Amino acid sequence: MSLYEIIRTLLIGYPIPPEMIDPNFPVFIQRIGGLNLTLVVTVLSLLLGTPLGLVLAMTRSGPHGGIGRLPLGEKMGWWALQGPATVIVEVIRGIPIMILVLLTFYLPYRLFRLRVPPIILATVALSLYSGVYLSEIFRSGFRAVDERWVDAAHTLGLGKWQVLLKIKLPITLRAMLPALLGLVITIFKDSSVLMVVGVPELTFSARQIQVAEPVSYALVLGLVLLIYWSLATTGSVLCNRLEKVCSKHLSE
Amino acid sequence: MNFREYVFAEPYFGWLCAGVQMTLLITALTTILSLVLGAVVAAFATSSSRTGRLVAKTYVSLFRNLPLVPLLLFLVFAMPGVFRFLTGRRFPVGMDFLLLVLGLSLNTSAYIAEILRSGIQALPAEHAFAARVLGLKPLAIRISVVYPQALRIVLPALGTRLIHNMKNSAIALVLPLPLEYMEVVGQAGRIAGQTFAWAEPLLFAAAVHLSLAILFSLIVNKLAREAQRKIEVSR
Repeated sequence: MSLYEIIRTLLIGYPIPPEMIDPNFPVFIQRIGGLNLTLVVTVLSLLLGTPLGLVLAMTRSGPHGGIGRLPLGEKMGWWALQGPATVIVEVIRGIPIMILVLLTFYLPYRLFRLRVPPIILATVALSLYSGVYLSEIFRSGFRAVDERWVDAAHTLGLGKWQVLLKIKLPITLRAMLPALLGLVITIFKDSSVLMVVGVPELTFSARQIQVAEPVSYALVLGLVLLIYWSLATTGSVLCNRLEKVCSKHLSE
Repeated sequence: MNFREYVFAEPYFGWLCAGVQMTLLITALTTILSLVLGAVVAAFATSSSRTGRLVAKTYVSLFRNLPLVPLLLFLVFAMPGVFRFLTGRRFPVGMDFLLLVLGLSLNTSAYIAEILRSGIQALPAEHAFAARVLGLKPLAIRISVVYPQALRIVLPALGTRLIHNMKNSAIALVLPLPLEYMEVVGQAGRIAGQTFAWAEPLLFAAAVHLSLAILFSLIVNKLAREAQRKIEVSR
């Protein structure tokens, strides 16, 4: 295997032999692999984690804390929702991502005999993981909104939606953008855990090359580390820039 | 779900208990090593020498941006070859556990160095000036004036990172460790290998990790409250 082929395999995944394709699941999702799959899973899990995180954060912030008022009465037992939301967040934050991934892969099958394509399970596991961390980021973003600014906007005659779109959202977004980018990097790096369940992402492709081809594992793993490192470093440099820009506007 | 058969029956329960001990051992070793490494790197990062700062910056940016799974795989599978290529000597066998501890500590120490650096730089420079006026040597200033106060400021962030470090020990599952060195998730995998039951031992491992994390965060919160009180007293 030439260097070019190794890099190509790491980027798009090791070609799967026809007899390994599971006829029960769509073929195209079984063909994605390597860095491609890492990026797909990262992006998908962040997109799916956002609504989960938003719901958890708004529930935990209570009737007044969220970005808008939830369509629930003020006295309607908030504790009945807040309790479970807090438990979900603390439990998923308290266990290692390794256990979360393994449980997502083995628990549904054990309980309900449910067979789901591995890529979907991987996305579910990482969505749960990113959802709870996003909920913490959203909560700190909500806290950045000063009640007095909202009152001032209401006094100026702005409506409910105008206050949401022009006052609350910009402040919240600006306050949480650096943490958000940090989470993207974390999810990107932590998706390497998926190799234990045989999802053919970047780290697992290296393993596949090592098993099948007579090339130096040190070289392949070195390339894998280089790919992860360069993307994560680009992200964290951006993150630092963003932090400076965002905090400058907040202090004005 | 059949916990009685797959978790609380011998020899499985014994394996899991040994795994819990190993998790605690890995956590203790990596915590100590990464605190020491982190403190050294933070000292470089806040030193007056430009080379020292560059070294610290490189270390932090290198190990903070490398994911743990490929890093550990590299240390265990590729390091022996690299070592042999560089020195011409054979890498001693049976070092996998130590390489695991080293890899986890490299990762955590980079984060800790960054946390400690921010704590040291948050401290007013007048404290160090005052100590110098009193005639303390630079090293004495660092050890008895700057570090204790910086530690108090960053205690909550440090605690969070150390809990994260404990959770990272589960990544040992990807390494082919000898049976007696397997931590709790590894032992759960060992049970699954014999019984095909993943869910029950995994839920046990999750419960262990969750309770350890809660215990740790209670301790950290208590320490942080005391530290906060001391900070307020000193002002």
